[in-house]
Amino acid sequence: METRSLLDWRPFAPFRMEAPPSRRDQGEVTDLLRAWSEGSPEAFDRVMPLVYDELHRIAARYVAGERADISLQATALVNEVCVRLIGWEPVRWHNRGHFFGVSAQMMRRVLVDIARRRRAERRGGPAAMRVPLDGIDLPAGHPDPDLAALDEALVALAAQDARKARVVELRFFGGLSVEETAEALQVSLRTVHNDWTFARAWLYRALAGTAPDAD
Amino acid sequence: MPTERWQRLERLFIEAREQPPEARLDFLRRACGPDPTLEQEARSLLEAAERSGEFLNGPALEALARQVAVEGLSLRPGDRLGPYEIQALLGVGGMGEVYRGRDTRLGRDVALKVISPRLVDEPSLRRRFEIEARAASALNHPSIVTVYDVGESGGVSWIAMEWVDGRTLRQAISDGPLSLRDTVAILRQIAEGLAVAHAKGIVHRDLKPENVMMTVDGRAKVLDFGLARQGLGEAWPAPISQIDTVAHPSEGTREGTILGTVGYMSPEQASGRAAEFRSDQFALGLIAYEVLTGRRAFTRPTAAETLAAIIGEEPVPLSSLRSDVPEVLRRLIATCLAKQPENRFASTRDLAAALESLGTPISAAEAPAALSAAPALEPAPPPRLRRSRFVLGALLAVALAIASFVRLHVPRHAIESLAVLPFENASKDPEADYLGDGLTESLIDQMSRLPSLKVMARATVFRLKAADPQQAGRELGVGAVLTGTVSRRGDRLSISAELVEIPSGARLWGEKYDRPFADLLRVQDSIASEISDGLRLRLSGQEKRALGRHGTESAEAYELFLKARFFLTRETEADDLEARRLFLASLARDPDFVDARLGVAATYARSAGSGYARPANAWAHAEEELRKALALDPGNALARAGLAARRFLFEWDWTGAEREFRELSTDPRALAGTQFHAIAVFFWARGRPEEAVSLMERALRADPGNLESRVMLADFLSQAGRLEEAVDSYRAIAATEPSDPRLMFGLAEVLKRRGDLAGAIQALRKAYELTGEDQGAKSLATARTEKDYERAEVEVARVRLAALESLAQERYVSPLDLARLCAQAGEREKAFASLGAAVVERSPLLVGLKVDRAWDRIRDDPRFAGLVQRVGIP
Repeated sequence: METRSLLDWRPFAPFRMEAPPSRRDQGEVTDLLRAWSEGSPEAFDRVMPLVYDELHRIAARYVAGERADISLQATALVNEVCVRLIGWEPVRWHNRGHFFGVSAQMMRRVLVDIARRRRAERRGGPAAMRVPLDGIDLPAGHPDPDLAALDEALVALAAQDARKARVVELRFFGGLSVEETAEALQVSLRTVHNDWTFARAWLYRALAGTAPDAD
Repeated sequence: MPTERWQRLERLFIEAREQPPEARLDFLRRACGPDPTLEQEARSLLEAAERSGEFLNGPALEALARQVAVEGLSLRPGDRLGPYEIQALLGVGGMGEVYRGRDTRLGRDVALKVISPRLVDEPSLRRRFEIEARAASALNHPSIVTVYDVGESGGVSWIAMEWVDGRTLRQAISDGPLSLRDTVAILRQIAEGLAVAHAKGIVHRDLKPENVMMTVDGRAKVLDFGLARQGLGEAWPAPISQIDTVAHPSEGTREGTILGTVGYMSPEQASGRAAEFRSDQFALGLIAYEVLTGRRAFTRPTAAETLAAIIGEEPVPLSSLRSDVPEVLRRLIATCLAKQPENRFASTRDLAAALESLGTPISAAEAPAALSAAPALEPAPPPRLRRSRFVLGALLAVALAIASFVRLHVPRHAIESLAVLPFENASKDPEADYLGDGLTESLIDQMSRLPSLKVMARATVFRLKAADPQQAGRELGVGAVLTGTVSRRGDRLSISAELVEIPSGARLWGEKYDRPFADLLRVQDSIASEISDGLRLRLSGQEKRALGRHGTESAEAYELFLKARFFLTRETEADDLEARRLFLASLARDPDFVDARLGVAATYARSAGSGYARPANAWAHAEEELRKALALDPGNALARAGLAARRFLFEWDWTGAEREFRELSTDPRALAGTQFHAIAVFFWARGRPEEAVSLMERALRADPGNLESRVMLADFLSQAGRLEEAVDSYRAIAATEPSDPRLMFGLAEVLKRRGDLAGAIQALRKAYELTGEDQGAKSLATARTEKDYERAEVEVARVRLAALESLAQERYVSPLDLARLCAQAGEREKAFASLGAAVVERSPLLVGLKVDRAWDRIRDDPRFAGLVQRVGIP
């Protein structure tokens, strides 16, 4: 609870630039967020188009050769989703950890769903005609993981070690830094770091299809 | 729970990773001992970690976006197409893709339209595509996007055309209607391009805002000439240069596309007859109508109804949608929109000439005074006249146009007051919200510097966000309102602004700005001075300088400042901290930026005033910044008010504060009204509510909508014993702020004092409902007596106290807040213990000891009088 809400009025004077906007009750927000993360279809339907648009916007910027700041988009997007859907800004909430946790879960659901649909379309649709490609200027490096497969591997990981799966969810789907992840899970930075390193290796191996059963 | 074996595996993995790479395998062998499965397992994970590269680094959204980006395109950056090297994708449409390419021979940029391979399989389409494109390539005019080259390579057909740095007219008008002057200029340029094409027998056939590019320097260029036949031009993506609006084939809004095209058809096309050059004139008329009014002349829910309307109905008269369009222009548009082609212009050259005569840029200042009195509405000549006769008509049109433009700039009455309504964020990017708010504030600040103009203050106008400008203007009783939109796309900033006279609704001035983002400051300056010109303020040189004065010359510092200020208007501690971080970042760019210094000071003062931080610390920082601000801008009213507030809130120097406040309240430079709050609190604390009331009334005259001022006024009225007025005030505010619990708390107290116990109980119950303090609301549900009322108050205070005490385990909380709740909860001893601590650290709210009703339950204690004396309240 915030100290400011405990008092009826504050003669805080010369610097008050604007009246406090009326805010939603935090309990209500918590309920809404919980409903989302637990898969309320209505919430999902409202979030999906926003994420979808943003996804294509980023994709277009990628192709256009603009890559700056994209990593900021994930959290900014979740922020926007909250503002638009419930008129409430996460930044105003002191329990940011909780918010991050829920939003990462939501992003996971939405992105994995998009990935699944895309996979289904690719399997069903005609093969696209392609011009032979040379000298691709897209970011080099390892191919990006198939999110649908990753999601399945994460479920398997969670069965072994739920916290590690949460770390991946927060960092990869929620776009959180190590520090924010530690805050959200109430664990040390070192724990997050170790969990992340281990889980990354474990998932990489699982997706590469070379994993012997880990138990 | 992870199994033991899993935990062991994890430890092995982590420890092995801490070894130098070459020692890891040995380490594993030793550590695993006789467990080869475990060793094997750990080793495979170590190998995976080494191979994993960038796996999962970077958010999932980005990874998926990258996959979307790479798939499904014909070409990628770096590919070659004939002599062109692909640089970036610009858009995707049903017909294919548009790329930005570079002609490696000539070293120039081009836009490349690449026809989709599945359409290339249809030879007839493909041949037509080439014939049309070659015909279009014969056109060369500044108002036409030049087609350079048509070709085919590797099974891909392409058109290479001029690269235009800008956006489409559709995008340009997405922010709202354009100014008259811009509209006329754009129409004239399009008409000139059309005239050249028509002279060569080439008809566009699909002219629409999507097919007109607006260059960065404001020129219109028509796109896709001749591609429209057989619908070839239509399925291209609309934006050629704006990547923001890439459409994806899979999600293409089919219905919308059809409707869009149908909306710009001529009656002859709509009835299935061939298009001719005058069909393009009709389309130009439709564009003019839309650009001026923001709506299409013929839009119906379905394509069929729209076609029927184009053929048989007249559009809503332009004059009823926009009052400032001169008669000549209205007639010209009506001629373009004639149902029969024969009734339009005999040649597009005539149309261009008519537009040119309209658009001669004549400013109000240059126009001879006599002309402004000229009869404005002489019937214009029928525009279908032959060209030679039209010249005569055109001369008359010039005279009329001057008259109209002069009227455009001269308000009927001198305008003495102005409200700058919040600029709306027209882009999707919520990041740009702060730009709109910031621009609005800056304009208010700048315009306020003009002594001859009364400008409504920020808090008043910000309560009118998204209000109807005319209604808002009438409510505020101002002579004019300034409205506008702002949007940011990448490094570009577009701003449109409009000045509307109240109550007539006449548009006095309007302008659009499309500038590099770095020009933010200059755009603000020029908007401010153009508005004042529009208002015909005779500015002395000094006043002009006042308008142009900025706290900083650095666009970067200014942007950070705007963002910071945005956070400062929020409420929580996190917002304050973010605001401070941004203000400091702004100062790092420009240490002399006075407003940013004041901002830093404000965040510190707020953290003290809100009980988030230890007062001594916070005030020390605040004072340092305020003094620096004063050194940079001697006499700065806000800095002085801040220092004076510190004097009584922290130093308890009541005499010094009063002296400073007296000077401030007579300082004509102190326009904003916010410093009245500090002074009013000063009088409130001293038990002189009448003076506080009159200060708030004064603040409200300067800034009538300021919620804070209104609530404080009601509180002071209550304190002054003016109970009826206080009740009315609380109720009036509550009518517009139904969710603000402060009003119900205040109302409950006044009603109780007035003897209306039932009303008081009801109000207090409502207050607790608003704060979510269900327990209090519940016990009031059955409350009947004053005792019940007080019991509920005490209960709630106890709950709050418990919450604050538990918070105090984790972080700093103000001892004064604790003391206040203890007093309300009836915990006398604890209250005095905390009050002692509060006195030691000089909590700001101690100044209210004499008058704050929260202390009523312990006021009779002899220790209390001692405290009042310590604080030195006179």
